[in-house]
Parts: sequence; structure tokens; C-alpha cells
Amino acid sequence: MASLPDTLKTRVERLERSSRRDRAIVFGVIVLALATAQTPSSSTSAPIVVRDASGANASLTSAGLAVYDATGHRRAFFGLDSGGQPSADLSDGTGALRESFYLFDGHPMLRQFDAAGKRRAELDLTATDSGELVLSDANQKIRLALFSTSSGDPQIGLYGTDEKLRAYFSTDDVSPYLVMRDATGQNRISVGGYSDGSIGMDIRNAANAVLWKAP
Amino acid sequence: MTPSIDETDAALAERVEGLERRARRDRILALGALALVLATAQAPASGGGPTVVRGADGSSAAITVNGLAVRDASQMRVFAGVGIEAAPSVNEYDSTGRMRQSAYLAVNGSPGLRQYDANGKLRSSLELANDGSPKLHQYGPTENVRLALFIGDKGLPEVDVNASNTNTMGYLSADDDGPYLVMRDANQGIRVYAGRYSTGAWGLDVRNAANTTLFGKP
Repeated sequence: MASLPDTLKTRVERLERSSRRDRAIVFGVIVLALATAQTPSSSTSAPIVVRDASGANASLTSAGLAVYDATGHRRAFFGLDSGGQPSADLSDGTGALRESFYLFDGHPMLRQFDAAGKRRAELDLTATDSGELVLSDANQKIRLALFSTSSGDPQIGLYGTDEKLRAYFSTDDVSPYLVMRDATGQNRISVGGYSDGSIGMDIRNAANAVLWKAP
Repeated sequence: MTPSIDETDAALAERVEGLERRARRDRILALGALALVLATAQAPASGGGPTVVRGADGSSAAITVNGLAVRDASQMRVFAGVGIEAAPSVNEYDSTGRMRQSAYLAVNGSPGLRQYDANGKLRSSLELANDGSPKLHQYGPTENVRLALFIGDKGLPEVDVNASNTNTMGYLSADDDGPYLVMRDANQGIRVYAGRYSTGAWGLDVRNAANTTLFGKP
């Protein structure tokens, strides 16, 4: 039978082992808590970059979020552009901007570009905040436009390769009108309301002489 | 007085028993804390709080559970994410903080693009209606529709030009049998018609305000 000092010695040794094990557990808990601690918010002045093995990455800066593909081309951006204007830009695999949704001098603008970088479609508000849709050809010449005239009336215009108006369809509060012009800009056919208040149609020659009119 | 050996052993035994009890209790507490940490641990990047990058000029970009929000020194300027009623959108705001442009999905999922003037009035929109039909509208300063391109209820494409009271004054449309151009006066009487008539005939006519044909061909 063991004496009391021997029993106490055994129990103290067991306590010492237990204490070391518990200390290890507590230390582990502290390390785990520190590693996974969540703060209410994470704030930094340095960019935050998330990168994958291919090299593609997304970078969050104070200006916004930019996403780059593996070749380093920026493919998407949401934020403030170099002029401090809000912008959402989408670029193709060559890095060329193909679509931009932004404020141009504070005015809303959606622009689409072809592979050559030419503006081909724009939906925007003008400097006077009137709505405008503009379709352009490969030479970036306006060929079709929907817009408001200076008097605020709606107009649809069709343009030649020289960007000169060839036909337009519009209305004021009195009557609508459709006008067709030749290459010199001379009206050749008019249909609808005239400035004198009458409504009809006419055909003219290149010298603006009326060849036919009704009624 | 010096305690006897027996009394010292008994006291030591009692203290060791106390230590053993505390050790068991502390182990239970430590294991409980470990279990709690393991159960609630998260990777640092997936936390619920926003991640914010700040610029020296006071601008900032923040990623929250709703998306990306970019601010200049004083106002929200860009939001891209999922906003009110779980609708995804990209919104752009002017320097006063007023929304000027939004590309979004409506609650029913229909896509839309809207542009607003400096007074907050809707001036241009490109949207799909509930049935999926596209429509482009341009509005006057009081949000009155002045110009519309759309595919209507019957599936027909149409271009409208409207008066300031939103009455359609002229429109060009087409069905599978032929197109037609219609011009109306301020009283909505048809004054000019050109194209295919509902009778199947083709031609054009000019009418007076009483709907009497003044000229017609053929």
C-alpha cells in the first residue's frame, strides 16, 4: 500500500500534466480566435487584390473595382474614372473598350464601340437633359438619331454618309410631318403639317419648285 | 506551533483535491471555448462587415453583402450589386448624390435602363415590358412620353412621335401584310394615311378635320 506522500506525489504529477495540456488547449483557442477574428469593418488605404492561379485578378481601390484577365487586360471596371465621373466599363479580350455606362460631364451616357474603337451606338441625355439615341456607321458618322429638337419636339432623323439629314419624322402639338431631302439638303417630299397650319403633301424639284401638291 | 506531520499531510491532500477539482473545471471551460470557436470560426475575407478601401482625397470603395459602393469625398457615385427588393442594378449618381442613370432588373426580372435629368425626372428608358416586348421611350421635362419605339400588344413594331400632352400625333407601324404611316391633328383626327389599308388596298390619302378625304390615290 502506497504512503500518503507517494499518493500526493502521483496526484501532483497528474495535475502538472493536466495543467500543461490545458495550457496548450487555451493557447490553441487563443490562436484560433485571433486567426478567425471578425471586426465590424475592414478599412485600408491599400488596394485589395484577389488573384487566381492564371493571373486573372480583381482589384478594389478607392476608385472602384477593376477586373483583369490572365493577359493583364482590364475587362470590367465599376467606379469613378480618371475624371472623377461614375463609370461602368466593359472591354474585350484585347483590352479595347466596347461598352461604357457613365456620366459624361454629369449627363447619363451609354456608349457601345465596335472592334475598331468607333462609337456605333449611344443612348444618352444631352447637355440640356433631352433624351437621345444615336446610331453611327463604321466611320463614326451619325446615320440615325432620335432626339428632341430645340423646341422640345421629338424627331427621328436619317442621315447620309456625309452626316447630312436626308429624312426626318417629327411632330409639334399641332401636327406631325415627314420630310425627305436630296443630297444638297433640298426638301423633295413633305407629308403632314405645314408651317401655315395646313396638312397635305407635296413633291418638289431640285430648285424647290412644287411639282405636285395635295390637296 | 508547528503542525504535526499527519495534519500537514491532510491539509496537503485537501489542497491537492481542490486543485484537481479546479483543473477538471478549467478543462471543461477550455474545451467549451474551443468548441465555440470552432463552431463559429470564419475566414477573415468572408466576414459580415464591409471591406473598405479609402483614398487620400476622401473617396472610398466598399464591398458589402449588397455589392460595391463607390463614394467621392461626399456622395455615393456608383453602386453595383443587389439593391432594394433584391433587384440587381448598376446605379450612377451625380456630384449632388442624385441618381442619373440605372441599369437594373425589375422585381419580375425584366431588364431596364433609365436615365434621369438633373431634376430627377425620367427622360429616357430602354426596357422590356412584362411580356418581354422591348420599348424605348424619350420623355419631356415633365416625364411626358414624346417619342416611343416599341413592339406593341399585338406584336407589331411601331414608332410614335407624341405631342407634349403625350397624344400620339404620328406613327409608323407594320404588320405582316404591309406598313402604314398615320398622321393625326391635335384633336386626334387622322389627316394623312399612307401604306396598306385594313381593306387590303394600298395607297395614300389626305383628310380634313371632319375626316373627309380631300385627296386619295389610287
